[in-house]
Amino acid sequence: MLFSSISYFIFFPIVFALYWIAPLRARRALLLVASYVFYMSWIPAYGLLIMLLTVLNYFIGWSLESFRKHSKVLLVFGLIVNLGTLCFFKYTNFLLANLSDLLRAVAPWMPFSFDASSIQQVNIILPLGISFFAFEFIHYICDVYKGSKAIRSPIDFALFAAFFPSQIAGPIKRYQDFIEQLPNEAKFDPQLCNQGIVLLLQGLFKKIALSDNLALLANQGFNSANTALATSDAWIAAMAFTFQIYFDFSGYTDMGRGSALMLGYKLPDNFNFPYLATSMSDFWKRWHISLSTWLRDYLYVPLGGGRCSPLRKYYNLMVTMLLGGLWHGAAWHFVAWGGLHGGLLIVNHKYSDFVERRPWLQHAHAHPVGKVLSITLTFMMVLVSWVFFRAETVTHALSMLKSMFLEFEASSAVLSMSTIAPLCVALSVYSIYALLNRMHDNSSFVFLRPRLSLTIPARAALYLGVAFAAVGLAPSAPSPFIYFQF
Amino acid sequence: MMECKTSIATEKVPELKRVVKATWYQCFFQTLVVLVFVVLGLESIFALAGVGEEEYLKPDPVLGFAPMPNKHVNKKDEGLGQAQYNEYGLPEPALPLDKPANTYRIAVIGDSFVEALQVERKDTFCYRLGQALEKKYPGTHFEVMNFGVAGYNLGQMYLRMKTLAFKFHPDMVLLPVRSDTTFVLRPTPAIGLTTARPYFFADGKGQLSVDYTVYKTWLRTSAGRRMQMTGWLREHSHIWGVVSVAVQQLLGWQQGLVEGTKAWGAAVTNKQTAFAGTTDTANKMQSTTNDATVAAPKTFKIGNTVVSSKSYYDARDKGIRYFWPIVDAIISAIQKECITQNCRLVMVQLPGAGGITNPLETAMFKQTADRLGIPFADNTAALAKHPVNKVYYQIHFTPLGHELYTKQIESFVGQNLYSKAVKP
Repeated sequence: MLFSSISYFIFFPIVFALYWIAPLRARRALLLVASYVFYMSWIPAYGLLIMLLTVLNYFIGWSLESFRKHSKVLLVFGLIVNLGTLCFFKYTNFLLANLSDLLRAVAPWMPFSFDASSIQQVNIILPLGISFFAFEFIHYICDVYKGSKAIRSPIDFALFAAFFPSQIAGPIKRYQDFIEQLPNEAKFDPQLCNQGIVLLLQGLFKKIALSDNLALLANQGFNSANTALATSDAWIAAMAFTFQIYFDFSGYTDMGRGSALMLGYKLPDNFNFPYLATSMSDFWKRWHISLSTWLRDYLYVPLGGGRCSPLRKYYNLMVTMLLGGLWHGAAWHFVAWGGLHGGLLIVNHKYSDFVERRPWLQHAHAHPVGKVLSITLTFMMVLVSWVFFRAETVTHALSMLKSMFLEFEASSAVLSMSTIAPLCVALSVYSIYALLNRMHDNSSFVFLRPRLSLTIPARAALYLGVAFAAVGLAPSAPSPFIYFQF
Repeated sequence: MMECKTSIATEKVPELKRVVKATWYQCFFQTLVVLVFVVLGLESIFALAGVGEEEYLKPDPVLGFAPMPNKHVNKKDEGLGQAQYNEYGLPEPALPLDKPANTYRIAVIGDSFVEALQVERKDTFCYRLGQALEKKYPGTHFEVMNFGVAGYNLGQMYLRMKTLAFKFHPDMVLLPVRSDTTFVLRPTPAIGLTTARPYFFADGKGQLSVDYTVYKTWLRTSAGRRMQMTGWLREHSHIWGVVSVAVQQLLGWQQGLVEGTKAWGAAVTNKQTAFAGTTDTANKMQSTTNDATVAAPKTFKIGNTVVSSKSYYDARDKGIRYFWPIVDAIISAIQKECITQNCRLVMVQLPGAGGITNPLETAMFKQTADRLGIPFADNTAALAKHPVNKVYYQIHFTPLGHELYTKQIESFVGQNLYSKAVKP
């Protein structure tokens, strides 16, 4: 069930109404049931997988707290269970394919004959959101291992694991934040509900009016990248994907956060205007924040973090980003994407050290022109890196980059611009909204804040209008959320 | 007095949080103002973006349905095509009724394949044919006029030619025929405007009669009455256009849900196994349209009966022969009208949906054309050499498909530009 599907817009109001009508003691159980219905609407059998993992992790957490002497063994066991499940479903075929390729490559030098084609791919369907809930479980057992209190109530723990607004593509929750909200669910807060509706609509608009329209352009470019692609086409396709992935993922997160807010829960924010980042490290503080902080806390810091020799620090950074890339998908182009970000972060760190020793450079960076240049440069680096992310293979990415940088053809032969009108209108509407929103939050523009408050029916009419605009501007064929495949 | 609670959502500026009470008329007035603002805003946004412009057919007492004049259409169900209909309801720029000097006019009558709303006008085979002929025969201006309307059967094409195309004094009528010609001649209960069409019958002497029972019956249904009442909105409102598409999607979703619920967790079943119909020969006949996008299945389900594909195709072929006298009579009538108007008639074979052709139907078209002395060409085999997904969207031609098809027919049309009309 996609957040942007008709099914969800029937499912969620039912859950919302039942949740607030139900007696307090039944609400968590009701949310849990709803979360399983949400998950099992895809492949019912995989509901059992998430249930099994929940039971195992609940007992591992409980055991970690109860048997501190054996905590290391329990932690290792927990990591094996979660990482093993993730690896089995996500990386088995990747490993088999690479093993087959390797054996084929070394076959001429082998003393015995071996048929590499006998290594067959396994028919595994990747369970939705497995990367996200595996990371949440790992965070849970690691924190309990470090001394945090385990969740005692099985229903609370199951709800933390399966909570449908964040189940499929995050944000990756921290259980301490989630659990502390549970006692506050008693009263319906109209302000919170209103903010939830705004976020839900904002996410819907980002996903179906912006991302899906951008997907038409990006897909045309990337799907034909094996043929000769004009320079302008290659750039347009790369640019379209850069914004598609932002609107897609941040739209999904907004819808998840909005749904959670309407049910009285706050989920962490995942984005903070990432394309306005002034450096690569700034970018990772603004992009997929819940993942970058997870990688920092459970991978980079345990590896030694930044408090070691520069060489070791860069090694830690590179390993973290390579694994971060691999987390996104079992393919080498994701690893290349992670590696590229790792490399850029290392350069960024080196350059920061260089700037720190030169006050005039610091002043140059603080100047508005310097800021604009930094934002532009960072954006260009991110854009280039997305080519590896979106391409089907590393070779495909390199051919796309070749079209962008080496083959200077100006003609636009592949992309059809008839898709551009709804996209331009949607972008204009969203830009005005985003600008007004920023001005509204900025104290310098306090005079712009509305003097007139809207009644509930008027507000409902406005919200209906926004939803309608999103539906109207959406292309006929919706694209699935990009992060669902991870 | 009724009261409305109002508030401002301000997460970051809590000092502005307030709850005020409004009287019912303040509440009503404010809602009305917001609604007007929303409606005007949406209309402007949709007009700028060119969305909500998919509905362009209106009921027509002669043709069953016809395009709305001067309507801008923006279709996005297969490819993305835009068209501006002129004052006569043609997807062409304004055309004078009187033929300019030194101009050769070709009227192309047909259905959605000719209308070609999936691509830009400059990519359609009609437009390309005009360009190709001008290049080949310099000194003559060629106007290839597109009279195609989605969903038309052969009888409707005949009526459109008679009532509209001849007003433009064409020198040639080009009739591209498709492999579901017989299928859409079969009277079916109307499930929407495009199936509420006039139906044609032929007596033993090949005399045609037109029957409007289905059309008139449908107009009296709630859907028909609703369409007549909302004519203005359908013609002018972009919001209405979006609503009607959304309703269709909602109905599709509902259908999908019913099917999906039956096999929860399995992929939602697709269309190839569900043909409605009864057991008589005519209803057993199925168009290749329905199975164009799938590999030939071993069995078909007709109603609750599962039949083998052999008996399915046998039934279809029987149906084609059963209805052929009507096809024959309509083509004869088209030819007679063309002779009266001193205009040449040329027939070309078009592939069916997604490239599927029907050898029996093509053979019978050739037979009829030969008997009546109408030049006929079947060049569809050449299209089959190209990958299906490059030439067709789900059903219709892609820009490449139009380009290839133009290349196939341009020389044949060229050869027949100045041939004499043959009397049957």
